Parts: sequence; structure tokens; C-alpha cells
Amino acid sequence: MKKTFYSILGIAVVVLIFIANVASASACVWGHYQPEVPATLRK
Amino acid sequence: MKGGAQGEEIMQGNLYQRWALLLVEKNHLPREKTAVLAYAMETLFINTLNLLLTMLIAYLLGVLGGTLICILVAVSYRHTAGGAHSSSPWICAAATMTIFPSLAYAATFIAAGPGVCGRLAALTAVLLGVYSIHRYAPVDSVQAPIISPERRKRLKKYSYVVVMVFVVGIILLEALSASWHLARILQVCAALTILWVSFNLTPTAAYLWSWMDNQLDSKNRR
Repeated sequence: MKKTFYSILGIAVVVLIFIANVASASACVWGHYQPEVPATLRK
Repeated sequence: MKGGAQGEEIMQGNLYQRWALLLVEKNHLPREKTAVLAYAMETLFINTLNLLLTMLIAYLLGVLGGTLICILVAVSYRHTAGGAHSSSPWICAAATMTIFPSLAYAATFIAAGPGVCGRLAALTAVLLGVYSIHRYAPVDSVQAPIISPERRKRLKKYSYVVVMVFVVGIILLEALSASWHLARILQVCAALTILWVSFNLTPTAAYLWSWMDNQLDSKNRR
């Protein structure tokens, strides 16, 4: 049970890092509010 | 002592940062990843919420299909060309929920009129779209600056490609409009969205969003 929970957390991290990279690669996601892009993702 | 400092750090951040810090700790990731995960969570949450609320309003107004086309066009166009932003997620949510169903509603109204109105809207959108990209795109923000000149050039080039794809789509819909009654509505939806996103590239739009932010700030101060 604990192993499954940690696997889900791992998958969530991978998905979130992918989303962060896609969002920071675009000029704007689509909405009219832009969260601050972290310094490590600024290009 | 260390646990206490970590607990304090978790309590100090906003909700996204707290969740991100928990994910970082549970997965034994470097601390620098916290900001990245918090950014992804905020982006995902705000955009999903905006999308769902916009679709709900569109469904209630009976313009769900048109609104989806408007959102699709806006996502593709803003992805490469950028545009003006609000500094408040609440203004953004209210604007998104209002603007896209309104564009779809207006498109349904225009498409029901003489065919020349739809064609005129499409032609204006294409011309203004190309002009706005040439003059302003890509438009970045303080929160997401475009640092690299190569990236800036690439985004401008992709913006032209996106508008050219829209032009092809608008021409195809024009050809289909004689046999498919929804084609004209979809064409005008795309045209009005191109006009809206093109307007968002201009300094006037940046001024308008900033004015709305200031209005909200002054109300909060009272």
C-alpha cells in the first residue's frame, strides 16, 4: 500500500515537471493570468 | 531542529508551495524542484478551473461548441504569440468565463446574418492577426520573460505558422459553408478569437488589463 502511494507521488512529480516545462516553453499557456515562472525554467 | 525549520518553511509558503515541498520531501528531490512543482500545480489548477467554468457558462448559454473552437484558437495563438495578462487569477477567471462564451455568442449572431458579415470578420481577423504578429509578437510578461533572442525569433516564426493554419481553416470553412450550416459559425468564432488575441498583443490591451488590476487593488484598499 505504502509502495503504491510512493509510486503515485513519483508519477505526479514526473507529470508536474513535464507540465512546468511545456508551460514555460510557451509564451503564454492560454488564460489571462501568468504565474511567475521559476528562474530555473526561464529561457 | 531541522524538522521544525522545515515545518516552518512549509507553513510560510502558499498552498502550491506547501504541496510542492511535500512532494519534494517524499520523493527525496533537490529543494530547487519545489518552485518548479509549485509553478506546475498553479498553472494546472488555474487553467483547469478556468476551462471548466468557461465550459459550464458556455453550456448554459447554449454555445458550448463555438466556445470550444474559440478556446482552441486562443490556446494555439497565445501559446506562440503570448499577450497581455492580469496580475490577478480572479480577474483572469472572470474575464475568461465572460469573453470566450461572449465571442461564441456574438459569432452565432453574426453568422446568422448576411454571409458578407462573416467573410468580412474573417478577412479583418486574418489581416489584423498578421499585422499584430509582425508588429508585436511575441509579447512576454514580467512573470514569464523571454530571455533568449533565438527563442523570441522562434516564437514569432511559429506565430506566423499558427495564423497561416487559421487562414487555411477559415478558407476551408468558407468552402464548407454552403453545405454545412455550422461552418459559418465556426469560421466567425475563429475570426473573433483571432481579433481578441491580436488585440491582446497591443500596448492598449496591456494598459486595459493593468487598469482592471488597479481597480481591484483600489477596491481592496477601501
